[in-house]
Amino acid sequence: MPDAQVAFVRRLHRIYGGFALGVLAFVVLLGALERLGWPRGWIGAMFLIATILVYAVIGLISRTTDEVEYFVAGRRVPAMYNGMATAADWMSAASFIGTAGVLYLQGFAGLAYILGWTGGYCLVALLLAPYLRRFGQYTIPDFLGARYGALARVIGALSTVLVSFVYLVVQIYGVGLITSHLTGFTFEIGIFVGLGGVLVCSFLGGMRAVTWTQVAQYIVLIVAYTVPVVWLSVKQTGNPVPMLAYGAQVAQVSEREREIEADPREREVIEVFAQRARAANAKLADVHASLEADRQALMQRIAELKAADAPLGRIQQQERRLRELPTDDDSARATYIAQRDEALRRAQPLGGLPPHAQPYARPQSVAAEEESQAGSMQSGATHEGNARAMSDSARRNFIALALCLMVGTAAMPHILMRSYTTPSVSEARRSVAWALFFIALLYLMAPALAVFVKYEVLYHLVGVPFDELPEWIRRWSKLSRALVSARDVNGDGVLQFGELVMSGDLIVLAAPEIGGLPNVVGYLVAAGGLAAALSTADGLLLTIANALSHDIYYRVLNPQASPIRRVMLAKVMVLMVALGAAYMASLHLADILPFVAAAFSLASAALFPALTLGVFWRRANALGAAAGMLTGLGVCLYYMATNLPWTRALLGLPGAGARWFDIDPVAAGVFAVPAGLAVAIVGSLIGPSPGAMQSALVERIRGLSGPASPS
Amino acid sequence: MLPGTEPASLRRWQRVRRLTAALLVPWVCVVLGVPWFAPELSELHLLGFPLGYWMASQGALLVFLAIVAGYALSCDRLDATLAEETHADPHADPRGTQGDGHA
Repeated sequence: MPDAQVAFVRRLHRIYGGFALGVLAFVVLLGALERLGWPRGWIGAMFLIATILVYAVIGLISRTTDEVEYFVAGRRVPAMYNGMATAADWMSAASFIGTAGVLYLQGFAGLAYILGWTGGYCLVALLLAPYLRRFGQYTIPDFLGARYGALARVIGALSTVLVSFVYLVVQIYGVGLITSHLTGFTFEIGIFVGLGGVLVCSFLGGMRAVTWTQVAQYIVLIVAYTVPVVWLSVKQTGNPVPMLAYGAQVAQVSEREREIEADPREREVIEVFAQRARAANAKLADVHASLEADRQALMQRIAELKAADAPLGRIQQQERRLRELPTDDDSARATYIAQRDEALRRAQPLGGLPPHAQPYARPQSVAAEEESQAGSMQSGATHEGNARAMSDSARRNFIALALCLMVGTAAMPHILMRSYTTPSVSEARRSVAWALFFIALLYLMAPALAVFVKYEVLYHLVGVPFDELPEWIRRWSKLSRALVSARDVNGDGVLQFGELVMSGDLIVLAAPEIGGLPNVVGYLVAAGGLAAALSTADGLLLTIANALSHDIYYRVLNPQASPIRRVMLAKVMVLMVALGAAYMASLHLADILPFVAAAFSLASAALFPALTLGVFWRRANALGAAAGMLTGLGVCLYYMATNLPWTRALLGLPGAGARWFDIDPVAAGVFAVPAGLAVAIVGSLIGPSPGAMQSALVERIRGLSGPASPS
Repeated sequence: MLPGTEPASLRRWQRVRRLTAALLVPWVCVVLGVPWFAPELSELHLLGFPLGYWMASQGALLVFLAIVAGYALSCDRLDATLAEETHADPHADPRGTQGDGHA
């Protein structure tokens, strides 16, 4: 390593070491101010302002118009720091907020995300990172263009935009959610405040600013995740290493789950939901009459309330319900079906959640139970057969999802792009190892957090009388009823597990409150979530803008453009893409995680076969690459479009789709990648052998001939 | 070309390829094996965890980390030994990494 680089690394150690201590000191200071009686709104605002200010300052210091600095941070980011920046790039709002939530809701099944989001780095390290670094250009479509020609570059650039845009919208959504939690602004304003935070980094300094901000953001997010997990770990088990400590809690949670399944009051709750499901089902028999009956009943109730001179609030509540009734038979049918399915889901042991530690468990529905009790031996046997088929399907889906996420990781342009920013090939390899280390740190803690929160809920929340429920339930349900709701379904005045619905998004954000930690920890977690969302949004924004300005405009439309003009255009693109994504996010999407998984499937299908074949198979050529990419994308989009309920509705397709091997549509990549790979191979064999330039490129990236970098 | 007389860069590429294949084997085993056998593994226990749960939440991650770190270290060592072997020939660029540090 040259001396200048050694000095540079030392300086970085000093700066970021100081920053990490500063973060801790800041948290302790705000903790002390909280004790002195600062209002919680101020503390939340302080976290928001201070962190965004730090990112903005780093972004301003790193502003640049130089092309190599703007697109690849000058290619001098040392391995460890590149690893940290990659980790921040990687860990999105979904990782930070969503993962522990999914683990809480799905138990073992959620571990597919943990496996998928770490295992992919083996593919990045072994198959792509060192070769991309030796190639040494600016974007991923650059590689496709040099290896396969202009058509592959354009398809690559468009897939990059598609994949990253889907993922970006999810990040901005996360930013809006957290900002509105920290400040009390509405969600829409939250989005635009957060957007400012994204833009100050990426707009002026491109990759250079984003890299150095991301390192700071990683420090914030890992501190923010570690503090509550370690705190809960010490509080519940006395052991400060959560990874070792939560084994005991897993056992306790499983034991309590068995108690709750047997609890007669939980069974009452289940019976109420089963009744509601039957009622909704009965309404479906004659939708028109049921809708009319519902309307009459509500009108009568309002008249009664008015006659009895009831409080205005209660009358208005009934009037609102009357207004919200479906207006025609079709939407009424949809409403009744939704009501029935929701009731059926909750008419299960543990409120429909599977036992936490059991792989591929499907809770028995009450309906199935009744059937098997009433039925003969034969129907009992088929019931068991069904349960086994369901558990096999769960296992297949687990593996399919994990595989999609892994291959998708190795095809995510904003991650692969980071291989370009290291000083050497060796550092590119080490940087992947560092990145996986920093990522694993968080993913090893996420399952622990989920278990600690479940333990708190099962042991300290269930069985509490309704009028003594903790404050956080009321506060979060006021923000959105979808986040948490607790209703006394069986009317005994005490909370049962089946009466509590918690959204996955809530688990991490509310974990400190659920565990009874000081408010300041809750705000620290929110600041960490914001760091995670902003850092990923920045990386994605750059990737999209670069694909549009560098690959489409400069390489295809106007090859004469000057470097200054290219950087200018890239900045304009950043702005436009950011506004577009913010607009999409403000439309309120469904739960975060399925969209992310869909983006991974798309990335894996579109890019992985062409990229790896480009390195490892000399014979791969333009025809094969283009056909393979289009096939991959096509299969993936087809499977998703024909199987996701909302796209079916959009396309006007009736009924449910025909699934292949019962695989969930978000894991479509598991079919699309092999299809794309096969077509790429066949196409390459049909088309002409790659030319001399392409062969020379393959030699060069494999290290068979120097020099390593064209610049 | 006789065996053993290929340029160092070609020998290096062959070894890297072999290393890559060798490291993908444990990867595939973990990725497919852990989810597939999780119910059976969960009959056993480790640190209080059901083993299947532990493997999927921690064990697999440690294997992944070992694979990636092992690859980075092995490649560096490979480059160092090849650089020594071809030290006598100043025209050879055994690592194929000429200019990497100053790109």
